[in-house]
Amino acid sequence: MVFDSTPFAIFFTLFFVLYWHLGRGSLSIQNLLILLGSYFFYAWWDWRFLMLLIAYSGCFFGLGLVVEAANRRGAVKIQRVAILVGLTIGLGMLGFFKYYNFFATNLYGVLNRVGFHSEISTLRLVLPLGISFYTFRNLGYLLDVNKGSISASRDAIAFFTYIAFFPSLISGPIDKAGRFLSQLGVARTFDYARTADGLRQMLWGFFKKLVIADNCATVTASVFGEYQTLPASSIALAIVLYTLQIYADFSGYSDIAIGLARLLGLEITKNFEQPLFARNIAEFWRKWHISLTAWLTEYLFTPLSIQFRDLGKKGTIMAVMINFTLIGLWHGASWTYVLFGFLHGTYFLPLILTGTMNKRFKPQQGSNLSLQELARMVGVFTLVSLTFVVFRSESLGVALAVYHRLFSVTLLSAPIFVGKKKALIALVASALMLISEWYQRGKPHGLNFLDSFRPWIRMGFYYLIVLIIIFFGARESNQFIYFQF
Amino acid sequence: MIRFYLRILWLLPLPIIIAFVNFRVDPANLFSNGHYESGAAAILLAGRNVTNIVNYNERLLRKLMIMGAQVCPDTLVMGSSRIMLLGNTRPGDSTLVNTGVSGASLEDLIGIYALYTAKGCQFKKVIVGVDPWLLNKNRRETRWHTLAAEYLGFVPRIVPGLHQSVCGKFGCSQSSYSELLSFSYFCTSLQYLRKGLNTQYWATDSAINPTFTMLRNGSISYDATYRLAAPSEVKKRALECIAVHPVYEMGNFDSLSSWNRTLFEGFASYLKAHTSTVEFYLAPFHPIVFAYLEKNPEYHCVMESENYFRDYARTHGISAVGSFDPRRLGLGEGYFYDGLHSKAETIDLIRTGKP
Repeated sequence: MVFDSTPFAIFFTLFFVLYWHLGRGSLSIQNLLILLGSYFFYAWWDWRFLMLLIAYSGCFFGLGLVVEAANRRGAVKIQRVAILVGLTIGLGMLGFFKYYNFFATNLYGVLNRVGFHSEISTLRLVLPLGISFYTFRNLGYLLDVNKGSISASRDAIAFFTYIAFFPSLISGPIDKAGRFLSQLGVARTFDYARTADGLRQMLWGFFKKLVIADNCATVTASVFGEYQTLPASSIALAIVLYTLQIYADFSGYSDIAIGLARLLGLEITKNFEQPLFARNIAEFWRKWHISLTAWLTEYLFTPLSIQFRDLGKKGTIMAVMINFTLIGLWHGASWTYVLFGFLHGTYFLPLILTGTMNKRFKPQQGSNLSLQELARMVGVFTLVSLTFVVFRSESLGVALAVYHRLFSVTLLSAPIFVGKKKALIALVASALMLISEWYQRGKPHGLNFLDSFRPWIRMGFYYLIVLIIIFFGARESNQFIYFQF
Repeated sequence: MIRFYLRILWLLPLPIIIAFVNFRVDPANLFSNGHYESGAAAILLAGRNVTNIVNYNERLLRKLMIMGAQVCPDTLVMGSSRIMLLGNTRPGDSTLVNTGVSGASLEDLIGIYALYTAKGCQFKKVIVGVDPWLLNKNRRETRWHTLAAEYLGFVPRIVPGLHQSVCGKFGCSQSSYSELLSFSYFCTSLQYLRKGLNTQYWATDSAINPTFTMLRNGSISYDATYRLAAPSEVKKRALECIAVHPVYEMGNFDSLSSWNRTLFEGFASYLKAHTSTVEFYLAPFHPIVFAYLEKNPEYHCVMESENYFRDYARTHGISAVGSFDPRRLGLGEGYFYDGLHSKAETIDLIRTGKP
């Protein structure tokens, strides 16, 4: 039941009406409805993993209470054991489902290479949908309770709802427990302006997904599938389109998720802040997949930086490299993702060495753009796009072959590829998206400007965008890229 | 809240227009209640070919043809569109009937066979086009629902006690009314309106026509544009085939499902016990498509399924002809119409072992 499917449209319409009429003014009914709706949504994919989700939530709900009680009584040992249990469960489950085969295969290879002929069997495992996201939500909650920055939740319904909240269950954003649980503690009242803006944000998300990402997908799949025989110019175009695709796909998903939450009277963390306008790699990561970056910064990078602080810049480099390699690995059990993260880590080296990693650029004002800023943006876009070759490739060998093919004399020839019309649609729509987002910098989404128009003009825009989606959206339905993570 | 609902009503004309256009134009004859298919079946049963037949319910047409047939054929061909051209080089051969349907699943094969069994037919030979996706439990295929009654009634005879297929969350619905609000159906409807295309078929005695033709033996021949495409166009079609993710019917193909294998083996052994000769036909993929499937770990089951079909055939005295791998058969790009479909002559060459 993906967001752009008929079953979801029916489900959410019924849910919306039920939620605001049955649950009007009643906190417990509202939370219970969201929880049941979320479980129904998840069970639609695979009911067996619903049991895992419930058990998982139950464990962390209990552990949160234990950690808080131990903390209050000064029982450090119990507190540490509870945290250790939580980390073992969270990382253990993630490791088992997502990384077991990867590590087993690599260990087997290494052992055989050094002369130990061992038998390590791999398992046929199906990755539970959204496990990377709800594991981080659970772990974040437990670590926050441990730090004392939030109180352990005593409301099981609210806590289980936080973990399973269906708009963000499958692909995030990864909300902080404190912010989300506090919203679940107050009955939501219907707010016309917020609901209308939520719908606008969803429409913007659908535009990005169906018109940009899905049209790009056709071109990129054909070029990357046949890169050996195509000129470098085709590959270069596919790389640019893939960057636009992954941005439109994931940020489109996030827009829809945020919009859905707003329709239910809840605010969830934004995940993107116009990252394609970033002027250096540090700024890019402050604007790209914000909720994951923030999570890792808080629970991994900062503790590592403190640990390595005596090592000066070397320590910062170590912390950055570990952080980004793990960001890569979080995406999937493959060396390509590891290299993707590692490459991003290396992009930070000049910033660390020149002491400009934490430099904040002045917010871009007005519509003017200096040449220097433009050059910086193009530079960051190029560097990021190049890493997406690794991200997309099935293996390191394929990625290297694509790079090899890319940097050849055919780079200046005319590109040849399947789906010229789709590429044109994707490029024009991307230009519209970038222009809109440029003028809407700092705003939650690209259709914010409609707020100031008269209702009938707004309605005209809605019709226009829906018609663009109908006529120019890709016919082939492509799953959201981040569902696999 | 009232204000919100009122504003939402402003958007109501859009779905109404979409539903109206989809229903009126109906390019895929979804709302014709089977009249389109029954007319075509009447022509075919009268011993003539039918041309310019488009967007029809293939399962329903097969069902009507089988139910209306006066005699049983000696040779039955079953499978997907990848085998539907088998027989079009000998249209006068009334001893062979091709019952292929696009994206055939095990349920389709069993449902079609059940229709013949109900008529008391016995075959000298059954050729089953085996495709990798027959073993993919994760494909979301619902087209077989047209044959659900036949399939569900027959399964206990071939694999007693096997847990039945679940049609879907809402049962074996054959309703197409969900397409009323489909965006893509709306675009197709508008294309038909704009280009003035018509879906009216007519009877012909010619097997090869400018328009798509179904022959009286159930095999097909493509329209001239598709049939006579330049090599560059065929290559483009192959690239388009892999440009879609997942590749046709092979989404989430993470294992050779044990349920599908049980059903397949039950069906194959039933065929073997009731037919003199059973043949598995493994239709090759276009070289570009196969190379893509081969190097992409996501599709490892395609290779595994070929090994499985071959092993099963070898150990059960069934002949297995062809291969998913065109290299194995020595086939270049010129032997194909697109990424999935080889030419009729290619099928004949493969079956006679001559490429």
